[in-house]
Amino acid sequence: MNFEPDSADQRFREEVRAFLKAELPSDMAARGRSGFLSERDDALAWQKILAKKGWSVAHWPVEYGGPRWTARQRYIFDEECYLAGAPVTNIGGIGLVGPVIYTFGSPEQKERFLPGIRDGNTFWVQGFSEPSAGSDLAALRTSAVRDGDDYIVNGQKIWTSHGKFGDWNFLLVRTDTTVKKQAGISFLLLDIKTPGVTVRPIQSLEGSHHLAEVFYDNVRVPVANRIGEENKGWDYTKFLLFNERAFYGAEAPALKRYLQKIKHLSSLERAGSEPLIRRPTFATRLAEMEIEVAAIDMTVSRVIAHGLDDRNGGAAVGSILKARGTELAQRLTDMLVEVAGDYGAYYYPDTNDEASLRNQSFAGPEYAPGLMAELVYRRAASIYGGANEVQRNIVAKMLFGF
Amino acid sequence: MELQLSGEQKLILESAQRFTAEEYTFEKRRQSVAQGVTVNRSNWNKLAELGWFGIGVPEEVGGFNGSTIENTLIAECLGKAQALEPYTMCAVLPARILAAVLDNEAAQQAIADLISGEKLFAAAFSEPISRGDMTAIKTTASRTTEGWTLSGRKTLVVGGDVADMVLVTAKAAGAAAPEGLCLFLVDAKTAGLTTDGDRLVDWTSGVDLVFEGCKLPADALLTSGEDALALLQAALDAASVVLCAEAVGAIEGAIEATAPYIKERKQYGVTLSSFQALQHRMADMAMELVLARSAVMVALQALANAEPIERSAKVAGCKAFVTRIGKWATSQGIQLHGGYGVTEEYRVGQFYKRLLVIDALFGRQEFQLERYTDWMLSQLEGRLHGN
Ligand SMILES: Cc1cc2nc3c(=O)[nH]c(=O)nc-3n(C[C@H](O)[C@H](O)[C@H](O)COP(=O)(O)OP(=O)(O)OC[C@H]3O[C@@H](n4cnc5c(N)ncnc54)[C@H](O)[C@@H]3O)c2cc1C
Repeated sequence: MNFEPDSADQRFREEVRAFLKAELPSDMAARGRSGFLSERDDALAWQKILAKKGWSVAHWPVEYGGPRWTARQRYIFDEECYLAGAPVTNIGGIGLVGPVIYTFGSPEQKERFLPGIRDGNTFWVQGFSEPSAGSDLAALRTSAVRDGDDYIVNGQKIWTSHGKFGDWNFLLVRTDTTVKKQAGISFLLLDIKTPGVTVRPIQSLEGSHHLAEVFYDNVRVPVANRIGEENKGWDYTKFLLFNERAFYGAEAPALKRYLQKIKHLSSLERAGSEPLIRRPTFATRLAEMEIEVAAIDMTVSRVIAHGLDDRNGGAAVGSILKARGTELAQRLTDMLVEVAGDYGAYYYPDTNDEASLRNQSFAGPEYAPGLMAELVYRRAASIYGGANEVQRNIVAKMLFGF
Repeated sequence: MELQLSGEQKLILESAQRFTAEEYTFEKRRQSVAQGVTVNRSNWNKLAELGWFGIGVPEEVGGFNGSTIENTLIAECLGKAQALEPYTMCAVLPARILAAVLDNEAAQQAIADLISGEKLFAAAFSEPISRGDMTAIKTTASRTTEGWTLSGRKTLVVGGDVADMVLVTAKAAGAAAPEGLCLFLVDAKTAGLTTDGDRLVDWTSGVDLVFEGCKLPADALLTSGEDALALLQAALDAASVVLCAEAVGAIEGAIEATAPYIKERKQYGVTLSSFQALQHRMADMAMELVLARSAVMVALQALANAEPIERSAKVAGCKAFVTRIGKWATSQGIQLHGGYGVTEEYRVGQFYKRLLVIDALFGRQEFQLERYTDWMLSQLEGRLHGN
């Protein structure tokens, strides 16, 4: 162990910063920083800008367009993008289904789907959860029955993030009802415009409609769009869920952005005549959180530097980071809303989602819209990607064999 | 001391429970929200008919006597029922303020209109820099030959979008806050008064009021200086406790929505309630509820007995505690509902959003805790000097 700064990493960071400064449009960055979720146009447009530079699929292998970065470089890249306010790209495509396709897909599937993801032409949405299969995902019931070269799909998915933006949907279906529930699942790729698919947005608490229910009524999916073997879908799913947790679980860059934002805004905001940040109880709470963010960041760095070992939680570390990272994000966004004072209680419509409202002005400081949306949205972070209770079950099982 | 409800208080509680259970359904609330209605005047009038607006107001100024205790019983029921109507902010608070303004004809007429539900009142005392400290304001009142000119911006004015009359604080031009603090009663239709904003995140009423050279008659000034400060502080303290009672209702509501849900919902072939982690979570939520209600009683006791500084400190302590644990308990209601918890279609999330709004009203935690801390340390003064 030594803590000498690595000059190559530092140079890389400078390079990323220079790129962001030159290429990230400022209106896009403002939307990215706002706290409202990125919508389709920004996500894809930014993905295209990155693709031109060869940076759009940071963790993909070189043969599919990855930039051959070290894990440390990928982390630096994510962090700089986040701090600069870059939109969140289409995680369903780049982070989730892309790796499944290049790992388990057929040559035809790779050729057909990977370029569209890499270059920001197709938006992918995840269809796993169902009304009665949430934490117990393997209990899913949406069925696919063979009919010649097609499957006929019937059933319903729910909580499909960005469902209304989807071009393509990757989904889990039941292809065998006679075996153990994990052993009868297949993994399909579906063009969402196929007849019989209905997307119904769900309004979430912060007022926006980024979630959706998706209904499948006798939808034909070519067998050629199945990943790997029939009834082996659960194996591919485990691979995907591991990636989801490992890469997106802690969201350490987001935590750093919250800290940065709280410090910046609470220096500007006044409590009477003094800056809010000078309020001792406020500053002490912020200090406590900053200390914890540093510990989470170091944990991520340890995993990046030398993989899993028994001093960093071993195989449980993904769950550790997911649970603690999301809970810290909840406390930080709570504080962010506090910074806005009275305006922290106001309702602001989602101007990322409703482009028609973008030129409207709202009560309160320019930064206020989006803070509350982000806080409320963060409530879901301890539910999706495996509820935090389930993560704690995993930790207890892995570390103690309980 | 008697910690049991009196017979009369029990009757008020039971009638509030009955009324809210019958009148407020989640479906009706969703309809109002969809239509953009923040305050339904016919519901408001029903609350008036029940006599709830005169409770806690002395008989000699037209009220029905009683104390803040009764207000908290009602507020708890309304909080639990997710009423959109701003009982605490538009009935309890302005009634307290108006009732304390002595020998003022306009105030006496106003309180009659408030109690009957004839007119709706909003109280505009907060500004971006206030953060709980009502003397930290910039809105100014300048003397003119006919009366006053008012300019400035008030924030988080509950009822500001629908009010007929507004109680407004301002600083007399050139004077510093406590001495220069003025309290006006303003007709909402006064020229130069506009609203800015939509509503609050829990869909209840709340907007900015913008005063641009509003011309007020001389008698619009109800009181000023130290008197105004003392009277407003007492009213805000009482309303703060009533608001905490709403939070208690919301915590209870979240618990009552969640317990049956996890008993019913199955995953992995068993009900969620069979997981000990969730049993303990709900046990913790229940513990917080018991303590939150007790914290409200501690504050009620201070309202009844303590000198102003101690009273305000204890109320602040109650607010800091109840909002902190209330946000936690209601957020766990969401957590235990899983994805359904974060949707507008399930009622549980509204309790959490209510707590987020309650947290903002009258100043947030850092303000409340500091107020309490200052008082706590002042009690130790002698000992600290001794060292
Ligand atoms: C904002 C958001 C975005 C999402 N995006 C997607 C998406 O794009 N695609 C997709 O397929 N799904 C998505 N999901 C669904 C998500 O994966 C599920 O919500 C999650 O798996 C939990 O399932 P559930 O909602 O049915 O809750 P349930 O399984 O009913 O669980 C409810 C609660 O019970 C508790 N609990 C559950 N199991 C246990 C246990 N074993 N021990 C102790 N406590 C337990 C937890 O507190 C949990 O939150 C999303 C969800 C949200 C909220």
